[in-house]
Amino acid sequence: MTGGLPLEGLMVADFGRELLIPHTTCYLAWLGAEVIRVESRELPDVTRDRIKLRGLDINSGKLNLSLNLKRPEAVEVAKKLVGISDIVTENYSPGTMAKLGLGYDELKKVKKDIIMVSGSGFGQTGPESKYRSYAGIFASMGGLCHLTGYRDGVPTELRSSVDTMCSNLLAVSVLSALLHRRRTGEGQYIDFAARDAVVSLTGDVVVGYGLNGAVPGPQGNEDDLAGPHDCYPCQGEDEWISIAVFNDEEWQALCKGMDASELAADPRFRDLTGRVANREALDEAVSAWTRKHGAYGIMAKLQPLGVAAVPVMSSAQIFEDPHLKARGFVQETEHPTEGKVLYLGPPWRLADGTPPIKWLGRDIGTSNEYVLKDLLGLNAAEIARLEETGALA
Amino acid sequence: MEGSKALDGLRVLELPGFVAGSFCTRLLADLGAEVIGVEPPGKGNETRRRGPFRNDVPDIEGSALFLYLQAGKLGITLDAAKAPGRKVLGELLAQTDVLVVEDSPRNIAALGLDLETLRRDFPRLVTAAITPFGLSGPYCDYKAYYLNTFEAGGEGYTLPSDRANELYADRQPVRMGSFASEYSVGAATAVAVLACLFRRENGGPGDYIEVSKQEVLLNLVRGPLAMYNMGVVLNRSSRTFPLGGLLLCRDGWVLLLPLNPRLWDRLMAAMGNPDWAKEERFQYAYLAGTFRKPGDYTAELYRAQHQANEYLQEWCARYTKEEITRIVQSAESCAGGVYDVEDILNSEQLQHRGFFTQVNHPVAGTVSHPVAPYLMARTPAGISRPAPVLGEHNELVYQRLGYGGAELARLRREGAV
Repeated sequence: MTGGLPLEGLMVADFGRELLIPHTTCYLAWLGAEVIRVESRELPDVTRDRIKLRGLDINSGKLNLSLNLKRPEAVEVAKKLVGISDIVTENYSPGTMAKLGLGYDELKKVKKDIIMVSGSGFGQTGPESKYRSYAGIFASMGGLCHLTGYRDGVPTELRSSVDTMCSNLLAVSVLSALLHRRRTGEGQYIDFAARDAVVSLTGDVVVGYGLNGAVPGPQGNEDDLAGPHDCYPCQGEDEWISIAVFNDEEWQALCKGMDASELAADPRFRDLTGRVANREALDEAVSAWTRKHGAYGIMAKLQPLGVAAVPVMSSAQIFEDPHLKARGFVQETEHPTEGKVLYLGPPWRLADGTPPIKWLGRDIGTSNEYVLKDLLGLNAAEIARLEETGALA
Repeated sequence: MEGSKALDGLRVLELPGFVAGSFCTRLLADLGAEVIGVEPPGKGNETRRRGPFRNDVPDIEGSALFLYLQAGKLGITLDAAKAPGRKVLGELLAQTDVLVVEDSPRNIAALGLDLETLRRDFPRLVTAAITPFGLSGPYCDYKAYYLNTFEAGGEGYTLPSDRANELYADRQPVRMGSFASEYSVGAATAVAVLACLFRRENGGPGDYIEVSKQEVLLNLVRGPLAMYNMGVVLNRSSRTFPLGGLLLCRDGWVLLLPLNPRLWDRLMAAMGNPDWAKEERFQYAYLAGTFRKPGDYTAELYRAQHQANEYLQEWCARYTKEEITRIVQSAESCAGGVYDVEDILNSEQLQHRGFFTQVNHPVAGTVSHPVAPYLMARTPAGISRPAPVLGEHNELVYQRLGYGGAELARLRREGAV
């Protein structure tokens, strides 16, 4: 196996829902694994009805098996699926899989070296393990909301990237377990907590507290080692540019770009200490200039001078961005009911390039025949029987 | 195999960067890889110069950011830009499985770490090259620090939202706190590295992984971004008035998230089923709903939402964040305190998970560190040593390469080490 995608040949039995696990298995699918989502038509994943395009995107490239795990026949099929799988992923509330007869101890009997990861907000056990959580909750209880916002403002509620930031770490543990198994033949169980992941992603704050008792709050966009360092208003409606200047050379270059020789000569701003101490006046001076221009124009002017200036990009700008288009990061596909759909490439490019996605997320049960017949070897009569019992509902 | 590490025997080389590359290899170190962190001679990594510092005194051995990122790693100094250092880098790479470099495309090429060269000279090497905008494209040579990449990463345009946006609608976008987004780039990189290592274990060659920080961040919000296909361009005001949301409590803030009728009913029960909640204008179906069209908003709805939140606010003001979290969650509804680092260190749940460990550093002393968010039953993560003092493992590593005392001294004189 020299060419091909890294995880080709691997099979993932995916009982995950919403975002935390589906985003992880989205990455595994991109990396070549065959991901089989197990879902019941009686309890469709919320990403199917709430904001459909999100679910279609995150679940691209995956197969779909319909199983109603309340039926014992369905649980048997699930076990058979695990029997040919390498990895099991799930993020039901803690204890659910065990109640269904699909806990790690049971699945280990079916496949000794199975790797199973359970994702949850706070962990499978402990005083908070039953807490209901969404991204906003693990972001707040993980300390990230407290660290985000204007210096004189309220904490910022977060949601969009929180699940997916945690998914990255979840994927690290799964792939590490895979490497371990490759070498030793040993599978294992992984208990992943999203709130813990949020703390890991801000671990320097924990260490900082131990070093000097610091309990940091929100700092806006400020950085004590930089000035100017913020988002500045541009000409258009809700249009902004981020500018970050970390040394005097960059400051002089910015002044040149702004045609502001008086600023370059201003003793208040001559060195970093001065620029940090006079932050308000500095930001006002920069804003006065940026307000007169468009963000992309400012970037085009300042970057050749060696100044870090980049627009604050909206989704519209991202899908139209010349750089991302040139890189082939924005791609297009056709969906049977949604029509033309734009989607973004993966977070990395391997040497052999980035294959396009195979298909956008599919309906529940669209892979039933392939999974039940071709993968699990069930015959027509057996499959009919499963239909009758409601196991495939 | 009790107590073994998942990545035992893996050799990783990290070149000086900022946070992303460091966190990538930190994750590998926690799982047993031997990670050598290379730093510029004399001054060390940029992260050493960032606070918070021990006792608030800037000290390259007392930086929380450096101590956290480099825990579990060996540390050497090397200037690979100079010819003698470049030769040493080649010798190190010959004994490396994974190379992680975080820099500009120009610098990466100048070090001879481009795809063609590495593929030719080290075909089994797995390299991750992390840059702000990737190795190609019109912006690839643009300068971008962490604020710039975050704001070009899709989420920047939509922060802050909800209450903070309501209060400060005219202010500039604000970035996500600490270096969470940079850490995430590191984590995403580790995912690709591990996948490539898996293929290599199965007989595949090495690989060259190009990571654009912007593209990693865009992937974190690919779901919301996908709504562009529906003609929806999300901005800070896209989410409609939050029912509950961020509320003041006795000792700080709490987040109430009654995101569906069941959670709302249980929240009301937790609050003792107040009379106001029985009024028709405070029924959940009327009050709540996200992504409404602007036309749905009447003055009455606005007044009802604000009044409902005032009642919720009144209730929250009586209790601490811990109490509210416990009361509401016990009633099977959804709430969470806006915790700060002290709350987190005191968390019973985190202690139950064994999330913290003490790490003893020769200069900075003994400090609590987070371990990992995953409890791996057979190969638990752990911190094997404190972050290195600058150049701490020069002798160890260079001797392994075959450099004796005199030769190492010469490299030092030449400024290569």
